[in-house]
Amino acid sequence: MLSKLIDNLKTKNEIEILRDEIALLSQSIYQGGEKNIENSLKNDIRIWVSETIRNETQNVNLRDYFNDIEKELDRIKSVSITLAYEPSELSVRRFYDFVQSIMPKKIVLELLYDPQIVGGVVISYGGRYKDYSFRKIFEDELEETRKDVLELLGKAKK
Amino acid sequence: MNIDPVLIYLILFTLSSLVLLTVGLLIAYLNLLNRYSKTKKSSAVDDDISPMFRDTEARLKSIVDNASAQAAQTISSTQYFTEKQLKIFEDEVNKSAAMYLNLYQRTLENLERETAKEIKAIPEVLRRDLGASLSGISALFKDDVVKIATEVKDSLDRAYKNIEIDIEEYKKTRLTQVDKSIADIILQIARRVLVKEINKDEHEKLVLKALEDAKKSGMFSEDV
Repeated sequence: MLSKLIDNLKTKNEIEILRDEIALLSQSIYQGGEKNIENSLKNDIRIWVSETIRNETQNVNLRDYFNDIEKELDRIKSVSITLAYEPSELSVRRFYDFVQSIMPKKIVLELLYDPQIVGGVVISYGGRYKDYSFRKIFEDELEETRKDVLELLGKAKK
Repeated sequence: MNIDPVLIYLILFTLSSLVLLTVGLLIAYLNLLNRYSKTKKSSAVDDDISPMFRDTEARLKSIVDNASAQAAQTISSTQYFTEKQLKIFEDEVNKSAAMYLNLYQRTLENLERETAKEIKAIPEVLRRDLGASLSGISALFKDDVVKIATEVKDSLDRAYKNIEIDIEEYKKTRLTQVDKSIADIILQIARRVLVKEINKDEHEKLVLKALEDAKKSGMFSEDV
């Protein structure tokens, strides 16, 4: 059963943030024992993460819990999508829900921003690549009409 | 009375000298007498040969006179002899001169002919030698010249081909750059237009539509 910590993750960036938090808590345990971790949960960790950890670790060894979380984070695959704009949280949620609904296992989105693609999206997953950007559409169209465009430009110069 | 010994010696020396002088004079006198007697005998022989001597003397005188006469005649005929001899001498000189001139001319002609032959032979020899030398030089350089010409031609061909390749590459590169520039211009124009015309909702719809297409194409299948 997946931890809610993992289940709530939608982007690769969120994985990195969570990984840092887990590393901090693991270090707290190592330095001051399990009693020292409460201070870290209150002061250094996001609230929803703290609450989730408290709920899920009532009868669980913290060290083992964090180790399991780290292993799960390492196993999560990501779907890379490149956008021409910076999406809202709602948009990310919709994209994630759509992709996750397709995938049998937990995935996250790796969101990239490139205004040069003009519009649409470039998708990359597991070594596969699909370019649904406007740039690609323009380039394909331009390749077909290059001769005509060059002739038009030549006439314009004259 | 004492007499100086030196004086005595001087007197004795003087007396000895006088005795010796007297003896010498005596010998000289005797010789003179002997010579006189001999001379007296010679005078008798001369008297016997005097007629012959006188005849001889007369003949000698006659010879000398004849010689003198002939000498005078010779001296008097010196002018005539000189002109004649001069004529003969002149003739001989002219003959000799003509002969030597003729000989000189023949020699000169022979020399001229031989020289002409030699001079004519010089260009032939030179031509033959020069031709041989040039043939040798030509043979030496012919292969090198052909080789160099071939190498130069090959180099030029290679350079020409390389230039052609470079030109083609340059044309392709420039065309690519032109295409890219055109595409960039169109993209920038399109982007400006789309950014103004497309809002975030429409972007989101495009992304969702693309994800749907990707799903249909099997991009998210499990075998990945």
